[in-house]
Amino acid sequence: MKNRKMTPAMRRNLAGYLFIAPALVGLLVFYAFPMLFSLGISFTDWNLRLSPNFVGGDNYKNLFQDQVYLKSIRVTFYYTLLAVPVSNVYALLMALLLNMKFKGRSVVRTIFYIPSIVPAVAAAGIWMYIFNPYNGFMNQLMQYFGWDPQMWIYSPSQVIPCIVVMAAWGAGGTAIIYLAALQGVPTVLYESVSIDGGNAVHKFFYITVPMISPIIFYNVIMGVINSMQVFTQGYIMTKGGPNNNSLFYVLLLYRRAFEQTTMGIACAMAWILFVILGVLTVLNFALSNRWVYYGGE
Amino acid sequence: MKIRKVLSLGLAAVMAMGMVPAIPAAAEEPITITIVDWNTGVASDLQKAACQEYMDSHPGIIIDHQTIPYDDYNTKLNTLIAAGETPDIFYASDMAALNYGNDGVAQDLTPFYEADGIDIHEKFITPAIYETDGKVYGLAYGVVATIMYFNKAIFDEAGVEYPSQDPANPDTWDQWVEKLQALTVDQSGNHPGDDGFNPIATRTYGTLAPSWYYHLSAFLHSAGGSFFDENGFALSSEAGLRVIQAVDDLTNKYQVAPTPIAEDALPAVASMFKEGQLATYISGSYEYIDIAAENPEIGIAPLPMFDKPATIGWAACCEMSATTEHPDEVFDFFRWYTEADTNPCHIASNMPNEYKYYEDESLYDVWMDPELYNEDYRAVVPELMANYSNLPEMCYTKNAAQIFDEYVAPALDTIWIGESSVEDAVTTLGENVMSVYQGVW
Amino acid sequence: MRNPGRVFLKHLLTWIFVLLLCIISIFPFFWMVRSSLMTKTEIFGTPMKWWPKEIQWQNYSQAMTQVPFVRYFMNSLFLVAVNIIGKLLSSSLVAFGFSRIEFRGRKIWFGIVIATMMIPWSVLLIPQFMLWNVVGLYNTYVPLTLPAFFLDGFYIFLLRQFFATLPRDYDEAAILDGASYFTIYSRIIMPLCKPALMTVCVFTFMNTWNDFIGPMIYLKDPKMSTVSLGLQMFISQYTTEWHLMMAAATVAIVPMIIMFFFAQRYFIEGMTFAGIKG
Repeated sequence: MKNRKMTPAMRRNLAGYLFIAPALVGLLVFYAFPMLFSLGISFTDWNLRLSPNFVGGDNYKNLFQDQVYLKSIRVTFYYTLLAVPVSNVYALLMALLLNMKFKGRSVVRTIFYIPSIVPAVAAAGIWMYIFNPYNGFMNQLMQYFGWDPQMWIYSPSQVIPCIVVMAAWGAGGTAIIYLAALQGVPTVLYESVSIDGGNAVHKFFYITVPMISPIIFYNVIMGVINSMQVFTQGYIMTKGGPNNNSLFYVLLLYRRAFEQTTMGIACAMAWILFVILGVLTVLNFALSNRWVYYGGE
Repeated sequence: MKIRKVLSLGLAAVMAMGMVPAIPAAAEEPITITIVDWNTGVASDLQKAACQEYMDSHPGIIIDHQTIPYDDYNTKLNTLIAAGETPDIFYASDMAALNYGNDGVAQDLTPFYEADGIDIHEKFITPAIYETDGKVYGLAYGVVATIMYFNKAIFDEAGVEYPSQDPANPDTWDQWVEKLQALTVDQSGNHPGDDGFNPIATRTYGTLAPSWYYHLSAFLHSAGGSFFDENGFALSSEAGLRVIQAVDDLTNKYQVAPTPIAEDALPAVASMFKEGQLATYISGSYEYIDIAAENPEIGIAPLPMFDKPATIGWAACCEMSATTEHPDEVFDFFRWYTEADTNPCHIASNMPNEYKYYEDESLYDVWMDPELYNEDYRAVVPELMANYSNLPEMCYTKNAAQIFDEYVAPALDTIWIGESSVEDAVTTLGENVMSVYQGVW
Repeated sequence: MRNPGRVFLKHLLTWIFVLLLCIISIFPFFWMVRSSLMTKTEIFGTPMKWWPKEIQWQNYSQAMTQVPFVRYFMNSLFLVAVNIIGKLLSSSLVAFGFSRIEFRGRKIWFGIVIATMMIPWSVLLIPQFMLWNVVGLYNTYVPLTLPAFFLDGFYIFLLRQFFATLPRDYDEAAILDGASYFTIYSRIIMPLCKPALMTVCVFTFMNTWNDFIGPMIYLKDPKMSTVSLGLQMFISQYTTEWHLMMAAATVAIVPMIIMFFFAQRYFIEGMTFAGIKG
């Protein structure tokens, strides 16, 4: 009986909200309070022990003059600018490779997946060997070609590019997402390009890329969000050095939250990051209208 | 529909898990004492056995013991404290120990010990006592110290006299460096200073530069300097610059040590000693077990001194919650837990915190198992610890974690990399760090 | 006419490239295994030893007993299973709502969902812990499982993008036939998205298996601990038992490799949309 009184729009709204209800409940229960709490704390001097005192915008103001903080922003942006394109290109290449039919494809795919499930400490151990300035793999390679050995992760200028290489290597997860996307491209479309006399390059740029563009878009956004929050390599391998050249934003935040227990400042850092990521994401979404093709819309 | 069934089953299962209570409803009598520490492996098993022993001999007390892995310890401990769930007894990292006390999280232990008729300073060695303003907030348990290891075979081969093993009269820094120059050789047999010495092809290093700010604080103390003092930044004093320059010279002037910036990349010290790649090594006593496993005849000596003999001692600092509901019962367990007579778990691998273990030779076997600790260790370490060791300066700096990790260590990095001279780096550090410096306890 | 030589060369180059990538990818696993069979000091020797001098099989037995690994395994498996069910259900429902239903405010709510991923966990940790502690669910599996049934921006966004690639023709046909949204969701969209759903499974498995922060914070009873947390127990204040940790890690990684090997068979190639024109 109600249905006769509901307009299609109302029915759509009801259905929509019903479907996203789990997310709404999750937001309310698991995120609303913590996010508001951390926002509130960012205006205090809480050190996790004493009662917090209101300090207004001091935390935010001081951060903009904090040399160590500003350095962490530069370091993190530099890393993100390198890591997102490099990882995505590598992952897409891998996915294209793994999408082809060849014998042993299952085994090869499993092998490519391994880097992303190796525990972080093991990965750190391996890369410390590869980048070891004394007889590490890279330097042995350099010597083979007659070049000078390098300090790699112990060099202020090379540490970030090294970590970018590690990130690309660990991009097996991203490759899987691309692989799933490639699976969704109807082969009919490729056939029609062949019929029209097109080659592999045509297929890639005129069919593949547009068809998987929503996923490329996803990986770029997630890549930015995750790269700006990179933590593990800095925490385990380089400890933020040398000379704070790998002091990633979230690493500094974590230290300030739990080692220095200046939670007020840490929360301020978190919300500044939130604004930065928000702006970047909105920009990305706005630009997406130009190049992302949604088959369903 | 299938999906709905799965959904409801899943939810039901999760709810059921949540219904299982973690702690059974306690009767009025038993008191639960919560303790957290970061001991893992064998130490943890010994610890749990010790807690069980206490429970057996004290009916009515339940010990709720939890191990938190070391890397994440501060995260969890601070979360518990922030949520009002401070454990009754907990370890505190040495740079945070006094902060907890001052903010009212950790208890001042002095009145409790006085009630038991004990003078803390008489019973416990200096580096074991975390004190400020007359209040003792924490006691170290399982103390470690910075000592020097040396490879006797390399010294013999090069015909160089061993470093002095008398804690009252160690080698001076200059004497030590002279020896290092004679010990360092490259693949062609050249020493630093000889024509044709190739630092990249070093076969045996004299030492690894002791660049960690903890060890540096020992040398600063020996030279009569420090990072900070009551007037503020003190590293730029003559003593401070002298020490930093001396450490830097090891790598860049005398070429007896590899660059400290890439120290993590070197092979394990134990294997370097064994393969004859390293002559001496300054580090904590906690490395002894690993080093001695491959080098049972390893030599032990006190640190070389600048003006006076000094080393640092530090440890897991045990603290008692100031907000506990049962202070007397908790303190009883605290004493039982931190004193080696009742809980010998730590002194199997680290050092005791009471004078009597250093002064009474008959007790040496308790904490220096003759099977594990060689003659040198037993001869040098007790006197060194008892008379010449202090807590590192970091424990007394108010916001030590920020100052040393964000400012001091990176500034030192620029020196080790060669990006800046010692004076420039220290001056710049002085200018930058004072904006966040909060003073000393 | 195609030049067989050129075709062969292309295949050879591709093969070499694939082989190179395989070596690069499998190298860490190899390093883990060889380290797990060495003594602690051998692991970081330079130049690198490719194989231990004497195989230390006892590393495995020692690692498995020092930490009760079998129990941790079962605990981790339980958590993974519940999380996969939860995330699949909730993320697909929510993503469907965002991508297939034009309701008012959907852009805003979608934005808020994405926003939840832009706050570092460090600052959410304490208030979230406080919440769970206040309702007495500290030291249970609830904080590690219940949220999976509600909100995870990572998967919601992912599935929403996948759903958006599917043409609307089927939807519209179904609506004309009077189907409810739920029918469209379950009968049309979900079956077409197997690769995407498999991706969600694979990622959830990986993330839950490797997550140690959650178990570290929310669990107290060692009997409830997980594999990932168990690996952390090999790190002590002054040293890390690398050889034992690598043995344990090798054992821990095996189920994931097996799971992935079987899961990726679902990545069926070349889905065709027979019957759809244009």
